[in-house]
Amino acid sequence: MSSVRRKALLKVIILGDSGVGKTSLMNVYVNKKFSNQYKATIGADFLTKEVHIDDRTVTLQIWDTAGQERFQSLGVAFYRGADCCVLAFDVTNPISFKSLDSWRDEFLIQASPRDPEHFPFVLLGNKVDLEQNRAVSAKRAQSWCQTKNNIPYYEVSAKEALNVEAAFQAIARDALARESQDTSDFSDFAPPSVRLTSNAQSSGSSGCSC
Amino acid sequence: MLPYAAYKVYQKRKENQREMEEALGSLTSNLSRSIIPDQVVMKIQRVSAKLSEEGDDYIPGTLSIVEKAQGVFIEWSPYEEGMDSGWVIPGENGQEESIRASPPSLSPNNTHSGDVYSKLRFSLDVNDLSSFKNVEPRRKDKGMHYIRLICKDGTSYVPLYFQNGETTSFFTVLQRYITLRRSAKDPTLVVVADTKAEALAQSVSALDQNGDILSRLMKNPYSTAMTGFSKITSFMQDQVIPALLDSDEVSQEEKIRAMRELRLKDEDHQLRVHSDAGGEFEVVTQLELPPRPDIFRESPVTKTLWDSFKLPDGTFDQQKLHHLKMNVFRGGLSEDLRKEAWKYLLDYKDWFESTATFEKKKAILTEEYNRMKSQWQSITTDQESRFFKYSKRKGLVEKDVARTDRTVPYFRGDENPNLKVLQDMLMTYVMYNFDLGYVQGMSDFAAPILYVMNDEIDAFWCFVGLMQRIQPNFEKDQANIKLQMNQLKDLLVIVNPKLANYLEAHQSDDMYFCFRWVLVWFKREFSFSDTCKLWEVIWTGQPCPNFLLLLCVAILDSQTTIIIDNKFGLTEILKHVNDLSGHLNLDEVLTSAEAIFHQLSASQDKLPLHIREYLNFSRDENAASTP
Ligand SMILES: Nc1nc2c(ncn2[C@@H]2O[C@H](COP(=O)(O)OP(=O)(O)OP(=O)(O)O)[C@@H](O)[C@H]2O)c(=O)[nH]1
Ligand SMILES: [Mg+2]
Repeated sequence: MSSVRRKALLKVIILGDSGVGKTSLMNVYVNKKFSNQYKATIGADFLTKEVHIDDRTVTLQIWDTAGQERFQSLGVAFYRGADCCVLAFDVTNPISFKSLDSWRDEFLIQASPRDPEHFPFVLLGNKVDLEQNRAVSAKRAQSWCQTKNNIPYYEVSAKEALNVEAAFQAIARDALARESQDTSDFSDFAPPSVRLTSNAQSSGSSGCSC
Repeated sequence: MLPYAAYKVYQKRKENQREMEEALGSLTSNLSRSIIPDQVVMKIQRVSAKLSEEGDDYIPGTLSIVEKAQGVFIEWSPYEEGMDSGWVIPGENGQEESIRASPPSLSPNNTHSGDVYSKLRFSLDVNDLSSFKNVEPRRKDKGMHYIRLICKDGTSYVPLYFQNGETTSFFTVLQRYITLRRSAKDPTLVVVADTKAEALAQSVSALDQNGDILSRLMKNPYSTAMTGFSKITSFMQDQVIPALLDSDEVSQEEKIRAMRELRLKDEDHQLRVHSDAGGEFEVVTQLELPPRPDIFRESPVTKTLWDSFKLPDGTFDQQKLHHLKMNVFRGGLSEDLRKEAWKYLLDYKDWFESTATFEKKKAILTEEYNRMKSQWQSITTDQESRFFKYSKRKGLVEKDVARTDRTVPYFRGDENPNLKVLQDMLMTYVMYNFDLGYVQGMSDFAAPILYVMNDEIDAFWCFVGLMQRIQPNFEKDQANIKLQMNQLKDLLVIVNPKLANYLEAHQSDDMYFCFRWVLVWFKREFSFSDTCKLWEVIWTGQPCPNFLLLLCVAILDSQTTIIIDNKFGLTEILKHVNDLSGHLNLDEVLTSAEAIFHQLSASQDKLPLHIREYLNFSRDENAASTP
């Protein structure tokens, strides 16, 4: 195991409604390409990218899942062991903003991280290139973030590659910070069943508003 | 591959390398990376990436091995656009393969724009390489040598074809950094030797006296365990084997002791082994299936052949219908026949309905369609603002239509009118079946149907016919998908118990990695035209229900060695399966699925009842009536 762990592997999950741009954001970040020919995601997939943070090289494993709720129940095994959860919404689509609570709750239930209160989330408001159609203001997004233990918020555009790099750099940093806190205990290497802590159940079900 | 003497030398070099890495590591943390220049150790020109299994879609480029401050990298990049354009590779038969008559869409040069090129460029740390496929042409003058790199995380890169045949120098240079070994079971698979396993094999090779299971377990713990034991306790899977592999964490003596504890009674099957944990290997009697028969695909059914099954009034001869369906199953349909034949296969036209009766029915259905279409079309924006269930569905449909088969010329371009037709069809389906609504994946089914019918109303009713069969897959509870995943696993246990056990030991036996296959029937794995062919084969309902699952079994079966020899875990298996997309050969998949069907069919009386039920083998009346 030692040689495999030489490079830190950070697992990041992107969640959000269908069509908010999860696949696009991931591809813009990893492959530097926006294409309007990406297909709707079915199932789950991930891409990896090496990033340098200060003097460390870490590998980000970015997980992209399908946005439609009914397909979520099957892929949740992949939430486990996440180091950071990226919530994404579309600034032109208020419904996708309203769904954020339930995405966050769902994640906490399924991934059941230890210390869910301090688990790193990052919020991305995508499609800011469509400013004329904006339906969710930055202010509104920020105040939601404040109610959730000050989640960092980034306004991005996959299409124009705006702020995407910076946002993922921050995501990597948050994930790494959490990872280094964890290094004293090795629970991350334990089989998933061992990691199912019970307290997450209670904190997760705080009602979905939409 | 590597003799043991050389292995020692290699270890030494590895140590030096590690020292050097550490030195470099401290250097780089202090200084900026750019101070140590990259050194290109080798560069091979004219190594072409093949974009997909189908067609001759090669992108020429350069393969190199580069030493960098961070490590050694295998890199491939396409030639700059424009340079070397017009470079043609002859087809495998020495002449250019004629482009199929089917969807003109697939002409590769148009479908892939510049961004695909740069997306293909890669740089891979040799330490992340797990194995590669190394496929030599059967005859020197035919085809080209290619390799396909597979990473430890399961990612497979595009196949790289060596136009100059310079593979030897590539392997030679690569061996400076990693040890390569040919897989015993699959000669086309070259595995990067796990240095730990190698060291262990070395250190206990003294024990290897009789070539017994012990030594086989040492050499290849995973696969030996999988073939040797029908079922293994999780203790064995999780503790013993990894411990044996991990020479850093277990002392030599402990390893040997653990090995000795694996007492064996029978070399191949029916083992009973006691372990420290007190667990006992569950012995499952293995069903021996007959050998897989050779199956050949036939040529597509032509219009003439199709018409010969018809009676003068346009109905089909009931006696011969099964025969016709088998013909379609074995060869698919010729392109010009699809428009007619799909109407039957999708239950829009009844096989025993005369042309005149159908015309009457069609008039009614046309009216029906237009009525439902006008229902949603009359909803105003204002009304929509208070009709969430509707507007949410509409939003989903719009987003998915924009993302469905857009590389196919029939749907290409922003102002393409066919996009609106697809949108209208799906919105009308929402009205037709509001309880289900629109669910992702539906657009993947609707698009090929619209393309083939090229008529909104015919396409709609064919789509309805198809949805009738697959609707359960889209239901909210996803129970039908889960059911099929279970059935798939049960089938795999019978057909390939070794892989089934491996998946179970790696938390992958929920078969989730096959979700996409089962939901959209391989739409994302094959090209548009192959998908059409595959679907019409499945729609015949031949030779058994749930043939889709046998296709899944066939593909998984073909990946057994890759999955096991690379020691893929949960995530790597998912990645590997996802990366098969575009690189599967449809005819091979179809023939092996059919061959598996024959294997199962030949031993049907020995199969468990539930398996017989999945495949409708329940011939035995008594068996069928038992609870
Ligand atoms: N204008 C604009 N469009 C975008 C942007 N990002 C994504 N899109 C478009 O939004 C649509 C959905 O993008 P995807 O990345 O496929 O969305 P997703 O969140 O992965 O959706 P699912 O896979 O269905 O869950 C596509 O048509 C994209 O082209 C953006 O920043 N600006
Ligand atoms: Mg997506």
